[in-house]
Amino acid sequence: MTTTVAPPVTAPPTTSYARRPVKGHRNYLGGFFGWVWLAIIILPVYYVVITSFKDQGAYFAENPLAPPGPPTFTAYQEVIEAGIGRYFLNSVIVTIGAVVPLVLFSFLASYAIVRGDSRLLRFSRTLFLLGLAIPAQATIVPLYLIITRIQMYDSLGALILPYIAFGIPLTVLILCNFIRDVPRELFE
Amino acid sequence: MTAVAPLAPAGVQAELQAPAPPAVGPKSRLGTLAVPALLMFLSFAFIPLIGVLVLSFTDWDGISAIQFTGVQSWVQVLTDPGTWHAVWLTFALMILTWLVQTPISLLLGTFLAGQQRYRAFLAVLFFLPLLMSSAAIAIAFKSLLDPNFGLAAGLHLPFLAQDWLGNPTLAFITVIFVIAWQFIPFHTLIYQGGVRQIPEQLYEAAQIDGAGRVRQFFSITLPQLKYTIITSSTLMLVGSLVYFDLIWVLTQGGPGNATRILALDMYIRGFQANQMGAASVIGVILVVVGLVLTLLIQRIGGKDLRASQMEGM
Repeated sequence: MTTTVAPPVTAPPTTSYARRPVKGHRNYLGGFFGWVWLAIIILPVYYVVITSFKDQGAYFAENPLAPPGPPTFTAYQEVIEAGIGRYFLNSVIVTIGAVVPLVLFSFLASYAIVRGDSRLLRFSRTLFLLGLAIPAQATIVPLYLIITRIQMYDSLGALILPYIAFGIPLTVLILCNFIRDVPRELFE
Repeated sequence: MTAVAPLAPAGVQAELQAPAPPAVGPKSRLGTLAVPALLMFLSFAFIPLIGVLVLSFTDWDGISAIQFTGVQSWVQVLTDPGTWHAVWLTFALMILTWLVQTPISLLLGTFLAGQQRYRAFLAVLFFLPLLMSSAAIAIAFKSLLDPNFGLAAGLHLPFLAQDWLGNPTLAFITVIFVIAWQFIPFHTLIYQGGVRQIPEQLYEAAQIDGAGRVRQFFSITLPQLKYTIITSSTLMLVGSLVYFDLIWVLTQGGPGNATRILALDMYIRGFQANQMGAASVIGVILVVVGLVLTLLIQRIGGKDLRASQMEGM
């Protein structure tokens, strides 16, 4: 994915996607398990979809895997009346509010880390590396403390700020790899 | 984007620490570009990290004043057999989910790397779970596994009418299954990419030598995927520390404490029993396990890890 300093140990990546030609016997065993796995994956998804078109009575009375007798939209009506619009909006706000600053900040930092070599940048690099190995949930107690102290408890910002912070290490890592691939001459 | 942060791909360390090329522009200005990210990370990730260590030496109920009590919380947590049960469950879950997910993802990835039309079709459907949130998956499985109104009734198979989430052993197995269901697609994707990067000539040579499909898999595919396996395993093992949301919705750590892994133990102690000090002790343990695990995998992976980078992703 990127240029390495060390000489390539593995074989050079070839992008010949022309796979093994299907000559000789076909892979029946692989195909069989492929379709079995499909059943395992699709069943819960199918179940969720058909159940969403059943009302409470049908859920308990009908065969759970049978398509709904007459499909009804009562469940959809119920969640809309229960205010799913607001919840959906919350998700949109949190997603956009987190992803836009996350990518912006990470891009600036990655650019600096790839191009520069100051003490501050070396420090950032080490810090972000550390961040990659930390299970984010381990810090919920102090996060809760900080969020309550800055009066943000019970607000969407309380979600957005930690999402940005814990997203930075991985985003910086990915962006660093891409920026390193951009030829230096282009910058000059 | 829940819980992406702790997922550290192997080889990352070497990659980021590679000597930076000399700067082109004015160096002093470049540093300021990193400031916003640095500030965000320090305030909402690094300071909480220090905070969890500090709070582990306190007694705090979440509302009133924080009192320093020395190692009292540590003694309380470390002498509690419940903690050691949670540690045991965390490692059992980590190893078992790895053992279940890796062979299946590896085989599916190799299978999907083929260019046949029907495999491309299967691939699209296989990745459906990636679009669902942990909570949604947990709720779906919870009702699907209901002994009276779930799968057993739908398929008329009485042996499926077990109390999947009510029996301690079955609940643990169910949790492993649902985790596998959710995360195998992601790792399949990694392996699919990895297999497609293996040079075609290797297989042609093997065919001339008369190696069969099984032999080719073990002699070519598997060794060539070494770094992909390391990357995928790091993500799986470190990621397994934070299977919180799925288990929380599915079992809430129950029945009893049969599925109460460290992450749940921390949450229950902190936000239900209001013992933030004790919860912080668990938090510190989680951080240490995460760091040690990452370093260990890097060490096992060897120096060549640099070549792996994020291969196959």
